[in-house]
Amino acid sequence: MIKEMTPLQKLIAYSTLGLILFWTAFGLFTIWLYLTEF
Amino acid sequence: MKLSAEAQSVLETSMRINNTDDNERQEIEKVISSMPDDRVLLYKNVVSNPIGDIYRYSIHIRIQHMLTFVTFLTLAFTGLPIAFLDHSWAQPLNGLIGGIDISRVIHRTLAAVMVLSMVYHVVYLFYVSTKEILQGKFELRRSIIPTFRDITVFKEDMQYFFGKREQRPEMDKFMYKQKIHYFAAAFGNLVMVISGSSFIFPEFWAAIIPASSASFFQELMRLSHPHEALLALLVIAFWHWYNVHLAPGRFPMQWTFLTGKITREHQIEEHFLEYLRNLVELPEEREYLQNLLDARELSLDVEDEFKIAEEET
Repeated sequence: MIKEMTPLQKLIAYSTLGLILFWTAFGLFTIWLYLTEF
Repeated sequence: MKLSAEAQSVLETSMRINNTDDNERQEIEKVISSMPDDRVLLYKNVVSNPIGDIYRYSIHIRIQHMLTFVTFLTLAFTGLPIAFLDHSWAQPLNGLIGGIDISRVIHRTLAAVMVLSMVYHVVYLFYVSTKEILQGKFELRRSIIPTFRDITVFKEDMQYFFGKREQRPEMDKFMYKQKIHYFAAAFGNLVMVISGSSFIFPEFWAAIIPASSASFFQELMRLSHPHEALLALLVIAFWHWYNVHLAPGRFPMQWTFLTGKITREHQIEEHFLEYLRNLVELPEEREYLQNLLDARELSLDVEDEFKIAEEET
């Protein structure tokens, strides 16, 4: 069992997650643009 | 718990390396004998700090990861619009950081930082491994170097995922997936550095490569640089980030890259052999586990539990 994160830990973890999801979206968007030769 | 031959061997080696005395040996054997055979029962019952309990990566490895991680993302951000310059979408992205001339400078500066972090990593690995070898503490199976056992472990883990096996196999500090990922990244970095350097220093490569294939080499490098970059981006987005952020048990983030520590639960589940070493090396971990096992009577098997339940009723 993993203990609940503190609010600060949650803030760090979820903002990092947000950042990587943004990057995933950006990467996929760029690849899509490339593949479709937009 | 009755240990497998591999686990027993890991334990013996660790006790030998750490010069474990008889008292400690008894303590270790006691805690292991009271562990339940079902490791799922064990790792689901231990309490973990979300940001990690057990030391795993030194500050150097964390700095190297951070350097690679930051440079990788920014290199991808500046590199893609350079590679696909003739595409209409590339112009605004280049414009964001002041146009192609600026983004080229940023891209090359970051590339130099990435190369430095690779050099830092190789020098550090060489230093640590040499030190361990000289002290007689080096263990090949504890390192990232692939061994034949990884093939068996991979097969057994797949059997588990297909429901043909009760438990995941006993894995070492680095499991098969991490080894594949590590060498894929190492190879990818090498491809990026060689191809990238062939754009900045064509004369250097022309002097090394035979004249007959110099032009072919340049063409090959022109092709591999952007394609390896796309491949790396996909691997990072779909594989690495899944494993360290989205996978059940890791969500929303695995903290190891910041704190250098792994959760106890994760260590037992995916790195059980390393956890055995932790029991040898860390008296406080031994004490924690023994107290937990005593308190929850996890060591009892199912039949014993039935007996107790019958006696109570």
